[in-house]
Amino acid sequence: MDEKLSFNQEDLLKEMGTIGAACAATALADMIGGRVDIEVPQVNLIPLENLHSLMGNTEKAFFVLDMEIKGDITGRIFLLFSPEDAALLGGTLLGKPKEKIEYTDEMFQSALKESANILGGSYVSALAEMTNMTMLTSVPSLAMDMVGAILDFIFIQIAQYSEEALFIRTDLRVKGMNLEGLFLFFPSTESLRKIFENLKLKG
Amino acid sequence: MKTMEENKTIEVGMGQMEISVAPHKLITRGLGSCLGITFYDPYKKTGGMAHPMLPDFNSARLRSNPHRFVNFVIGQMLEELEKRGCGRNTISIKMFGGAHMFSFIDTDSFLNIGQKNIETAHAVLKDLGLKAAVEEVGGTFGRTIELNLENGKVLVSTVSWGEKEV
Repeated sequence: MDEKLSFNQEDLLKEMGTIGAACAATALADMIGGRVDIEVPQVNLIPLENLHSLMGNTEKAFFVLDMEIKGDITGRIFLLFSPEDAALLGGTLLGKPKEKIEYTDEMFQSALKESANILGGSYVSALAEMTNMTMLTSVPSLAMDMVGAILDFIFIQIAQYSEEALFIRTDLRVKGMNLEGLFLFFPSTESLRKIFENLKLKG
Repeated sequence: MKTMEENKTIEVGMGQMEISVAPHKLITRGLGSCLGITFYDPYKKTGGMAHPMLPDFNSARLRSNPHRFVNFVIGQMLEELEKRGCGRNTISIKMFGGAHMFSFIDTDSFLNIGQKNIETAHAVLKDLGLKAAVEEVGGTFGRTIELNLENGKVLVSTVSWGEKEV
């Protein structure tokens, strides 16, 4: 996006984020049997060089689940958990205390991927319904490393056609469990145009 | 009397280049498929660090920040150091990053920019008659690099593979 978003457009993206995240939160709550709160999503448009402001410290380790979105709307979804939170979530799903979780355990990793599937899938289907456009998520892939290192490829991709990165960020919080996660949706520039056109918002 | 300047650690962000002198340090955190390139002249105790994201400036559509590009920033850093009296033949070059972070991305995909960044750096250095003395590139993990301008050593830290000085 080389031009700024209008207030209407920003509100619309926020609304999309809220609806998507609410569905994702419900799905997560069903999965783990706890109450999930979501913060009001933020629509961020940041210059690529300011990536550092996104995560605080780019060398901090995170579990990152990445899903590609295909269909009328394209883009990427990232789900981020600190290693402790990932162990807590994985442990809850596997019925194990988080101290017993090994980060390299395949069962643990597939439990995380499954939760990403469910979260991402419900987020995307809510958005697809709202916009009346197709959206499909790929199988999630998982990496645990420095968050800057994991996410730099998406910024590199964006840098080829835009000076700024637009994404919708939602913070997830599970009451009573002290579990936190971060949900990031990067719609492609092309998709943003489609979304605004489809919903008759030209700025 | 001139007061001693404190030791500073200067952050080099994505798409940035910094030049400094001892006793300072230059650091770039969380390198993935981006490259981290360091130049160091031991006689002048002067060095530079760059954190480019993309290989080629000439084929880029957006050129607002040329330091984003491997082939631009290498030449630029050399020029800046020569301006400060560093000799081309005494500069030690080290290269890091260019990783392939997600195994699902095909190695020949345009998303696998890490490898292209490495290849471009090799070609540009060769054209300048230079060669990297140390290369810690590729792999599937992120790196933080810190150049100590006192001695030219680079500390490479990773999440799962420990740290080492090169």
